Amino acid sequence: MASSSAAPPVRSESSRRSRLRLRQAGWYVLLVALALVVLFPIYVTVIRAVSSPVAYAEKGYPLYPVSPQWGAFRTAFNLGGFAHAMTVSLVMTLLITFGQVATSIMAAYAFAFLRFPFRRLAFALFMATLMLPIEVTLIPNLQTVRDWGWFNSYPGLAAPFMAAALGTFLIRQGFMGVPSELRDAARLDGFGHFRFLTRVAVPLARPVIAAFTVISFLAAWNQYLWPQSSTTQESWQTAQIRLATFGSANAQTLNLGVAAAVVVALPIFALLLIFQRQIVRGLTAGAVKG
Amino acid sequence: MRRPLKAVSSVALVAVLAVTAAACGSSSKKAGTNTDTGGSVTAADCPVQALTSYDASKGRIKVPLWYSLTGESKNALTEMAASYNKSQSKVTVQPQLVGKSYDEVLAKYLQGIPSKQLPAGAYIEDNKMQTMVDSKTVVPGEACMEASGLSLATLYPSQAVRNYYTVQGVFYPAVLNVSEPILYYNKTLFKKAGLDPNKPPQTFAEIRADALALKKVGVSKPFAFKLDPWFIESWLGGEGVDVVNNGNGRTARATAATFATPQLKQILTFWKQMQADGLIDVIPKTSGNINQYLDLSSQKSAMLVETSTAATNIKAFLGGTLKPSDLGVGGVPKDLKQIVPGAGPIPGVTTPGQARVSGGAFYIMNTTAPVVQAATWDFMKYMLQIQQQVKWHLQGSYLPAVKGVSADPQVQNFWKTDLAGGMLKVGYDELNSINPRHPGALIGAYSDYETALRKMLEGIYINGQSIDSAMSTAQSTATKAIDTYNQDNAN
Amino acid sequence: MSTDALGEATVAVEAIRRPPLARRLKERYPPGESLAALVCLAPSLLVFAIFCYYPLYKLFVDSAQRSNSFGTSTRYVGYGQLRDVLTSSDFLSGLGHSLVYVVYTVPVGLVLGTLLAVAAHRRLRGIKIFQTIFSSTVATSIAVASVIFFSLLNPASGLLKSNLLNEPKWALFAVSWVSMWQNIGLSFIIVLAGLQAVPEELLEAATLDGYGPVRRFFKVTVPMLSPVLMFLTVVLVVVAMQAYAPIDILTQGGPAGSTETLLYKIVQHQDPAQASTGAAMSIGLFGVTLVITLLQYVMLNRRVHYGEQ
Repeated sequence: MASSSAAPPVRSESSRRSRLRLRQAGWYVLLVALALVVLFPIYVTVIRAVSSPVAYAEKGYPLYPVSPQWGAFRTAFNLGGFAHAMTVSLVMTLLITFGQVATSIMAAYAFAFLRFPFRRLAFALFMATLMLPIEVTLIPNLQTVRDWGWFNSYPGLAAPFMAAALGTFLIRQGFMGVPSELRDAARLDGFGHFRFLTRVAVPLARPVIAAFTVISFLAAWNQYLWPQSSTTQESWQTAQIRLATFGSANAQTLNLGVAAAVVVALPIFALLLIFQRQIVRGLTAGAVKG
Repeated sequence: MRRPLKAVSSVALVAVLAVTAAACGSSSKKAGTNTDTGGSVTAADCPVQALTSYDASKGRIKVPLWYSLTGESKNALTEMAASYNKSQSKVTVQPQLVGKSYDEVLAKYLQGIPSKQLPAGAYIEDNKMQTMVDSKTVVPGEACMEASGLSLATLYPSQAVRNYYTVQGVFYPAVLNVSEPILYYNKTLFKKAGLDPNKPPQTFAEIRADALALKKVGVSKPFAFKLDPWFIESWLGGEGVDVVNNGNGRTARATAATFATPQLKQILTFWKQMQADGLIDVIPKTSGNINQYLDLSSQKSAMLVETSTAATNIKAFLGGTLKPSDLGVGGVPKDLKQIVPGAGPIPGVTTPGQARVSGGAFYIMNTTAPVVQAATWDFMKYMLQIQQQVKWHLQGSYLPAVKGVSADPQVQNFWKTDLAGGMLKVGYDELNSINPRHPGALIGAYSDYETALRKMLEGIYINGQSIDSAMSTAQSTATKAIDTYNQDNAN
Repeated sequence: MSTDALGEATVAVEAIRRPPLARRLKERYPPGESLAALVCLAPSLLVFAIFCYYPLYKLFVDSAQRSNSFGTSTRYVGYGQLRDVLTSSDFLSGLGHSLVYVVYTVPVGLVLGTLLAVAAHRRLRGIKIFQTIFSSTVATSIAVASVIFFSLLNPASGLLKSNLLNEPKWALFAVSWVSMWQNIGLSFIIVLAGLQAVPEELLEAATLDGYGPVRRFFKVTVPMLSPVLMFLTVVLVVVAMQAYAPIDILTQGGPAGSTETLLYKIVQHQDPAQASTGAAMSIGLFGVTLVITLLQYVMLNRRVHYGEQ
């Protein structure tokens, strides 16, 4: 790159710095533009939620709030009975998360530390279930759950999800990172399986277990197909299903519908902010080595 | 603050569409069947005394009632249940919104049969009656009427209505909500086109003539044409065509579809020509699709065939008391006061008003304890009272079929002074002119049959398929479905 | 020595050299551990057996039977039914719509995710805020995202004043926007992690070799990202094949059946008379997903670069 040989060093230094700042500014501009694009749907939802529906329609659906009223969130929450629906969601989610984490830890322990026949076969059986998600097994599972009388119940909502191949895989990775010297030392100290698991393995693998817990919680909270199919009573609708019927209802109360969407989304947004690191780790576990 | 346009809601329109009965419609000119003998049930089939001898101190009997309704129809039902519950101390009716459509309710109902996880009562679309009868899970309404000392013929004086819902001499529903397809049109635009605003088209030929006149004055797609098999059935029935064999499924179980006839071809060709001449806007039948109403309100179209239950929506869309921006569709004229909606009987190929009975029906399940069955019937009896039937008409927009409702002063006033009421009266008149000897078809595999018809319409008007091939494919598909149903359920 | 003695001596020598089978097994698989393993694996295996493997078996059994309309009796019709369903226009059109949905959502997710990740993978003040924003779409549930886009797209009162959801040719595309938007967050997170794993030294070396930023990106970064991109592609394809809520909330199968994906059709086939058709379609869905996943692994594995160029 040519530079004026007659220019004093000071000027080229400052011009390089200003070029850098210009480039940085350029990146900021791009980032802001992309952020606006990504946030546009959320922004639009919020302004519609707070606008009064008649006035908003009259103005031709602009990009700013019209006759703002903040009561829509509370009205939507109460009218749609979201307190109850969110309770159902929460209990179901906690059941699933707890079940998945517990069974995954146990299975991962077996795969990581124990020697037993047919271990490879068992592991293959676990991983193969990734090819059999609830979408594929829906119809028979509905028959099973219905026959057991578990429609419209917590067991019915949670049972198909009480084990997770992904969790087993992730936590096994975490356990395999436990140094073998630690294992030997523990055995020498007379640690039984349970004690080793709870005192050594789980604490050491805590980051990956935490990551999976958060992912499991997210996925369970956001479920749609199974809760819709396995319930027939309104009182058993989870927050997502209640939102679907409430939110896509009549166009005139769409402000309530999108307000409800915001209310239902808020807990997860909060989770994202608090547990961002765990979420990232959980989602990228299969992608990036180490 | 004025209540915003409530009926424009997709919810209400989904209700409308949900109410749209798409059973095969036919008023065959062959001899009608022996459909109204009422002799094969006795009062003993309905244990009404179980309720009278029930001790209220044991706690209220719970009556879960599955339904799918939206908007004001939904409110009418839930309000009625609430007032019934308040009026006595033995029964609590629990209406449960089980799905977004009639079909979802039926699907969940059918799935619940093997394990007997059924409600006490259910609100099912009219054209699914053969299925309900075959399920053997229903207490015939007629038995309960007899047990309570009510006469079916007195309750529902219209022979046509009774015949439609009678299978092998037995009337199965407990309470009916009736609707008919009628023609809605924009009187103002008619006037603008030089047509008499009080003479809506009665035949296909008149539709075409009116559409051409409307097109000349700038109405871009004069007729909003919804691809609903229900209308096809009405038109076929008006021409004396049975859609399935064996007396339209009434003299014996249907074994084949028979709708692919020259008359059907004539009907389909007529609309194809209208489409080619730019005189219709084709609208697929999808739940939640309200394009046909938007076409009317934006004055892109001036004519629409739809269910009578849509009268309230039409009024809301077109009645001049509400602001145009309530609709939220571009192109809506600022001064809506210009639009005056009118209604007329459904035009036919050669004769108008050729429709069949449609709507929804409340059934009582026989899988519950006798006292629950009696309790369910008690609520049905409540709904049959004049006051409640008036409410179904005024609020839910269903047509009066129970004796004495049409004479009620509220209803008379509604017809005379209310825009929607006037349109609903057209539906009521049409209902009372249905030929009782030609009730609609009875088909067990109704859903598959209707899907075949719907795909035929979509094939012709959206995908450019040839009429002959679409017709024959639809008929063979429907026949196969009917045959499969018969084989599946042979017992 | 007699033959007997020789034989006995041989056996004795063998016994010293190789412990008996039972002891070998015991060493390799200590019985205490085997029992513990059984206890640890049993809960998961039980769940998998009941809710994954039994259903797979049941799907095959069901696809050769038909139930009556009320689930009270079944009759055997043979596997011709499975073949008929998998070759029927109903199944094929559903499959076609699903594949179109994949085509709509996967490339967009890949490109946008990479674009966002590249933009946000630099040392700028406040970059973490942008990273949070870009990943935020993954925090909305599919139902929330669908309702949000419903308010944008619905023909009566949608912000975009569009009639796309009612046009048979465009409805599926409009519905796919929900998935596209949700995929942005997921793709971003995964690609960013991949970018963070690209060793700085490689890029520095490339710069020293005179590679401009674009050339660096395509010659160094993308090859290093290949395993991540491959993983992301598989994930996005599977997610697309499993899309259900957007269709249920926005179009319910859409104008003239134009948004009926394979999964949506399966869900419509739940009642007893249709359950065997639904089971056959589920087998089809399983097979297709399996084939696509395997194909991707095979195809993209060839182009994955490990290590330095």
